[in-house]
Amino acid sequence: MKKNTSLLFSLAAAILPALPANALVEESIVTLNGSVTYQDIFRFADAAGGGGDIERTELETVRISTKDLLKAIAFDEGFILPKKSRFLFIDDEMAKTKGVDGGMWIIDRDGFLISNVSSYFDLFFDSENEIYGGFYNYSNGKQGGTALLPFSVFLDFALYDGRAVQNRGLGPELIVEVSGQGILVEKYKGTPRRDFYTYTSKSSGATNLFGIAGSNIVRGEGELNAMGAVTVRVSGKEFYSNL
Amino acid sequence: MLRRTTLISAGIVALVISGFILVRDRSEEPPQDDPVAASVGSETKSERVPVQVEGGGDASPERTAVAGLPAPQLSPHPVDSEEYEQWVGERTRSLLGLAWNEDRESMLAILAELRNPDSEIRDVAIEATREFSSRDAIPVLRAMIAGDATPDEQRACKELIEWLELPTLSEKLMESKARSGAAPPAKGPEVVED
Repeated sequence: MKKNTSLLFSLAAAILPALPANALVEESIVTLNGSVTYQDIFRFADAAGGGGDIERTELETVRISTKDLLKAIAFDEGFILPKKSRFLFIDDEMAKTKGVDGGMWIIDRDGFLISNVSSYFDLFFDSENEIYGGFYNYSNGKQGGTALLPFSVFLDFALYDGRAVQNRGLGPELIVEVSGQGILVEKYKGTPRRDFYTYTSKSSGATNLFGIAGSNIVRGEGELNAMGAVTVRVSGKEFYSNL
Repeated sequence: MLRRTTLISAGIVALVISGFILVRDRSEEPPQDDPVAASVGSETKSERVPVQVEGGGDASPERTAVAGLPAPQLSPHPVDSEEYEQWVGERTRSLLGLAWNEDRESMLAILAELRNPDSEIRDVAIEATREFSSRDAIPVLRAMIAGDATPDEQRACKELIEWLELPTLSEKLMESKARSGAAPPAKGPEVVED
């Protein structure tokens, strides 16, 4: 399900078959804002009866925002977060070009990669099932339109003994593990320059989140206790060589 | 003789009335040479400021000023023109760019656009306020509600306040670490100027 081609490149390449295989520069800045509501559910074993009582705590809601997510990950990973750091999504094609792992990265204000944080936060784009419509002007090479792209979002925090680890199996002190699927609506525009073809897009989509969250999760397989919603925005810009 | 006296009396009365009108008008004029007093006056009073309605927005043509909040920026281009669409695109980029800052001026510039007559700009301002993600916005949002916010603006402000008041993920993480007995950080997650 993970997108194998660039979100932006796939559209441009569909319309412009002469485009080179890889974009030279890519900027897919990602923001995420929303909230997740959860409820701790305790089960007390009843040795005599073989069953158990269930006790539910009050509902708790946690705010999810881009800036706070950056801080939380940096805090958890133990690195200093430069001001104006952002999330950059690197697709598989661009990852090969750059020689780095694909997925979600934290970058500084100048675009330098700081840390791959896909284990905490990641997006997957289902480009196989995207639909789009717009125009392409053969006389000047300009194009523009709207694309609808299915996407999935994953957030994964688990804290054990005051330290986050990605492995499961112990009773965590805090866990936020939620995911959801939505539709990214992308407004795209392509403009030919003298040496480059620039392709810009603004995408946003909302999705509900489901999963588990809380400080004491004792439950059966597949049971959920967390629900929420987030808005995801991807602002992209790519440059393709005309040479 | 009687006619002369009547004319003189009428003249005196006319002079007295003119003088009264002149004195009254002068007393109502704001002090021209005291900018400090003028600025203090503008902050403490609810001032009606003209807002040009464009973009088919439902905002009132005149809005009550909220202390510290600039007026929303309006397009000089006619609605439905290509230039207007470009202007909206540029303003959108600008507001979402401001959201990455941490300073109060950027926050106020974003919040001001919650009163923009253009609904698209208002939607971007809502998103930029979330992106800015500061509880310092709450008093300003409350002042906007107490002012002359339209029902749509009031709903947006209330939703933003409710969201900003929620505990954040990083706060929950620190709370959890503190509860677990791990050494709590001396302050919040570290962010430095590079």
